[in-house]
Amino acid sequence: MTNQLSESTQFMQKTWTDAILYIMCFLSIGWALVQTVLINRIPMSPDKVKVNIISKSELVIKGSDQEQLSQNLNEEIP
Amino acid sequence: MMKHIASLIKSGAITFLKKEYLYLGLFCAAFSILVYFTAEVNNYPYTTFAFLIGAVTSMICGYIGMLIAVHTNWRTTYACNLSIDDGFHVAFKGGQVLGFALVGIALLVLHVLISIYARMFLPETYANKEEAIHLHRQLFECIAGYGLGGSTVALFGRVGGGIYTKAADVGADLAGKVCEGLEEDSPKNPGTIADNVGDNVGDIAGMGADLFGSLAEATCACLVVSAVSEDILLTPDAMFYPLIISAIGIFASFVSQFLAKIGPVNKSNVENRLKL
Repeated sequence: MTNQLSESTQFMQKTWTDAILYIMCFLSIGWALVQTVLINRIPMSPDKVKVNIISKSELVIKGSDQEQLSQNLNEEIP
Repeated sequence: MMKHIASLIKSGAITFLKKEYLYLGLFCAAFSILVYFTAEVNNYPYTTFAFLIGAVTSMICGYIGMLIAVHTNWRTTYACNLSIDDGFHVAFKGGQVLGFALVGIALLVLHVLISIYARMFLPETYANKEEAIHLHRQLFECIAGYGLGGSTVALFGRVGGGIYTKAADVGADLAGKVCEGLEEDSPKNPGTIADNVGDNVGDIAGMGADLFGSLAEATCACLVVSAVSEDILLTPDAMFYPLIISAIGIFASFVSQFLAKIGPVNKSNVENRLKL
């Protein structure tokens, strides 16, 4: 029993389970890195955007209504 | 414009996570003292170290998930403008990064931790059978600290992010929909940015940490229970069965993710694709 457990401790460090675990872990992390690179390589061209949801100028105009918004928020709820 | 809004969401999410992880780090440091005085054996901080490693790994997994999400979100919006098929593939790639990175890192760190502890904790020879079994059991009980660390971060990540996202959602709705008469998630509403930041930190970083916590906790629990059996202790390959199950799961996911990429995706078949 004592010998078996002593061997088993060594066995824990170099076994086929170690090989499977390390291969799968590095496959997993490597694949995640590949996907990250692929996402970064997606070509982004503003000309291809079909729908312009809102223009920047419209946001600026809306931004000037901050006083009105603050006023509305400060109004007492009836 | 799209890129500008995405950068606002990204900076908001990073700021929130940094602040959250700062307080979480302080809590984990304080909690590790409690772990040291209550769960350690022989006055060596094995469980405490495993706890801290689990907490840090969980934070890293959550942070990776959040970073890749804010990186992918606006690219998905752009791709959806071209076609649903393009949008699906970009979003799918983003999801894969969190999933694969999380499981890979969790298993790798756990396995390395077990290997290091086995070298440090177990002597070359044992005085008798009882001592050998006792030490092996103690080893895996110390490893359980890894699951505890992961779960602690997951708890705060999930709850903290959840409360933030709900507060931002309600605030944005009150100010935008009720007071200003804007539509839901209108880009004219500044609160929408906070709402989107909340979605990223709560539903992605929090969920990433939660997934890590579940995986680490389940695996550690299996290891501790297995260590009770003498028969399993005598066959170390059986001891690593819970880890092998997760490793096989990685391979199965790797193969099955190719099935989702076969053929074009449209509105009618997008749900079935994800179920594959």
